[in-house]
Amino acid sequence: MKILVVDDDQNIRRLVSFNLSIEGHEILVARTGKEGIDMAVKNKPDLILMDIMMPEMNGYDACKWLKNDARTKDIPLFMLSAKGQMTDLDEAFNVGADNYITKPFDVEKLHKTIMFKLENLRQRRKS
Amino acid sequence: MIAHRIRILLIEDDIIDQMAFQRLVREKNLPYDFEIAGSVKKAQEILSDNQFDVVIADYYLGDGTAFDIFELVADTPFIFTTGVGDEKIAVEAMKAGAYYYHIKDAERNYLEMLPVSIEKALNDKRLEQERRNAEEALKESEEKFRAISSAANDAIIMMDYDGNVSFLNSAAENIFDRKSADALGKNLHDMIVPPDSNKTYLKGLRYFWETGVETALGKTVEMTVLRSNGELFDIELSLSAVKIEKEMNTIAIIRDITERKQAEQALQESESRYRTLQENIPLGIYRSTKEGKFLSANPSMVKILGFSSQEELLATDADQIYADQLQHNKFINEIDSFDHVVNYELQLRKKSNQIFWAEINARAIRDEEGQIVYYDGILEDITVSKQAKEELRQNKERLDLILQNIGNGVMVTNAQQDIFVINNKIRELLGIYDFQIVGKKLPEILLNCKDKGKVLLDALPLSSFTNLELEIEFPLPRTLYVTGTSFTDVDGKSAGKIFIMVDVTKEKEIERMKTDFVSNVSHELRTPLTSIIGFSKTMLNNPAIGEQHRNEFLEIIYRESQRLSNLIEEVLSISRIESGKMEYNFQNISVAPIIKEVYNIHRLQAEKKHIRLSYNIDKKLPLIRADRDAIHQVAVNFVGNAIKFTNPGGNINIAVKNGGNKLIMEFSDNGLGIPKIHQGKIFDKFYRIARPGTETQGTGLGLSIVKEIIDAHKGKIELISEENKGTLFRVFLPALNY
Repeated sequence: MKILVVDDDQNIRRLVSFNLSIEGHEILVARTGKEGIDMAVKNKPDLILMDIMMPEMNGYDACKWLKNDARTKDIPLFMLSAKGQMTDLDEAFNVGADNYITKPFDVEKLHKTIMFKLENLRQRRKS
Repeated sequence: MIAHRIRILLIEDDIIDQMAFQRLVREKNLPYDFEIAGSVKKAQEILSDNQFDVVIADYYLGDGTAFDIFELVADTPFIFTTGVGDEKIAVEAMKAGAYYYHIKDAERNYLEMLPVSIEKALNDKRLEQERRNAEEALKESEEKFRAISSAANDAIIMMDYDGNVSFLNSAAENIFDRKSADALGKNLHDMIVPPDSNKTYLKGLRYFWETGVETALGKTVEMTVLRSNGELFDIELSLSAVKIEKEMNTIAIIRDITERKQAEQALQESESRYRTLQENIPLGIYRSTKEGKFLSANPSMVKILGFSSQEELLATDADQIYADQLQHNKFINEIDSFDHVVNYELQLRKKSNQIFWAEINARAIRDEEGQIVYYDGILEDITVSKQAKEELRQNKERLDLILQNIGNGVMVTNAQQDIFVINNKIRELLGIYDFQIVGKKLPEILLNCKDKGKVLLDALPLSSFTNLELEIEFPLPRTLYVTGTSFTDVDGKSAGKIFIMVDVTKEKEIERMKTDFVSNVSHELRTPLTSIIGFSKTMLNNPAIGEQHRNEFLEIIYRESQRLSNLIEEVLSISRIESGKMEYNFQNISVAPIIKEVYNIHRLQAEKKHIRLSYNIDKKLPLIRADRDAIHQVAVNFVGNAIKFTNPGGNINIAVKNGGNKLIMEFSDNGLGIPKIHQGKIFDKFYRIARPGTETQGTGLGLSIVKEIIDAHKGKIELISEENKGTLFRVFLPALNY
């Protein structure tokens, strides 16, 4: 699977890339929301992991953009954020996020959640 | 004696007698003018044309007798002469009205008697005439009296010596309601004097003479008497005594004075009331000259001014009473101009010299020429009410002062939502510049609120509400907490609402900042934690990863732990500052050693990034009063930021300068610089500048901590920066002993 990681923190990018690569996924990275959109449009990932607090277009705006664009709206998008307040979750789902994962997260669980979502999606497309 | 001549008619048929009479008149030189008739016929002729004082006639006449003439001379004294032996005729003649008779004697002696008879007859006739005249006069006068007395309004009653009524006029009949017929002959006293009266004026003259009791004769007295129906009424009585036909009588003239009495009594009562009022009323009532000298004063006036008697007050000069000459002159001018003053307040001086405020209502009394004769006035000591008024005014002023200066908005409306109290704070908060707002409706003050104050208007039906959040949009965006409390009138009906508005904009902002703080801090904590947990778990999950990965991950874990540690320090520090628990240990210190220390700490770090860090410190620097650690922290934060935001190859310089009364620290670099739009916000907590393509760590707290510290040291920070050129922070701190 092709997974796009959008986060301004290079350690997080490294952490997610490393762990998901081990599981056999192809990882793309972007450092800002804007970069994320470009990458998503260009590379059509199977899933996007998106941080919220980023310079140059935050995660909400990027998500909103992606979910409003025909080319990207069907790509599952998980918010991956250190913001853990209920209002943050509400905002995330408002802009169309498919899941919300709070930092710090367990790398194994992250992988399992991603796989579950993708399997679900595959099943639904089949039917 | 009869002065004039007497006209006589002699009727005599005997010539001798005729001649004898003529001779008598001539001889005796009697004052007679006479004519002689020789027969009845002749006498009748003469009498038809002439008047005589006396007629003398012989009884036997040739053509008749004296009786034939008698009828013609009814009013004239008639003297008969007859021959001897005819006495019977003489008697008859006398009976018929003759005055006298003479018997003719042979010697004619009767002639000697004749003049006497004539004179006597004339005299008697005169007396008779006088008597008749008197009778007529009396009759006439009685008639006049009756006419007058019956026309009189006063009762006129005549009593005899014993007090019995002999006459009463119609007024008396009316006044006493008695008919003459009933009253005549009755004793007036018994009739009209009440049994229990001790007044004896009407008991009759006999009573007075016999008892010696003083009578009211010749006086006018008043008494209460009875009417026939038993009614009592008042009369005025004048008594006079008259002698009528040798009898003493009393004439009573009586006037019904009921009305006058009533009027008098009414007047008396009114006067008495007035006097009582004047004497007891707690108001001073006076009359004074224009200059203020008192002419009269009631007891209250005397008391108010503290004098012991009216005389004492009246003897006192106006200058002594009127405490302020200027006030007094104005007072005089005012009355003179308007003829009166109403509720005029001025200061008077009591006898004790105590000065007090009096209120006067007075008017000018003028004479016929328009000159002011005196002032009549009413005066009240208003010291107490003035004090009360003053207290009331002060209270009102105080309350108003409190109301207007209270930090919260206060407003009161009635049940119809009319505003009747509003303080300045509300005007300020809600942006109300209408000075006529009192009396207008509540919605009018909410025009600058979000949705025109709908949230508040919706809450009005509630009897009370607290901390209703009202958002203001103009003149400044604010948040108010509104508390509304209904109040009721005496009947328990809702009379209106009291609104308290508290500006919580700042509190809301702080609250928001706190939320942001928590949110930011947790975000900033979670980010390094994610790496620490994530990489350690990765290593645990993958024991076979190579040396290179292991070192890389450990390096990340260590750096992120360091970052976490720094972050925690900063959070603790900012929260200490924020909560006011930051304790500065102010001492007189020199900044130079601190700067050198900070330089030493950062030199290697800078070198590692290929940045040249330098410093230059003026030789002579003032000491400052400061907390050493805090200044150290300021320098660390500035230098740390400079290293973070300066690219390799750049320069950073720290300079400390003597600024006279200030110490100046400058931190300059030729790094990224701060874009203009961010320059106003970089001292805000957690504010970080988004820089695409650059990875900079930090909490966004550094500069806010710097700002807090410099503020606490009464210093100032200046920022000069241009994007991609560099940044200069200049800190000014007050120099000691300058």
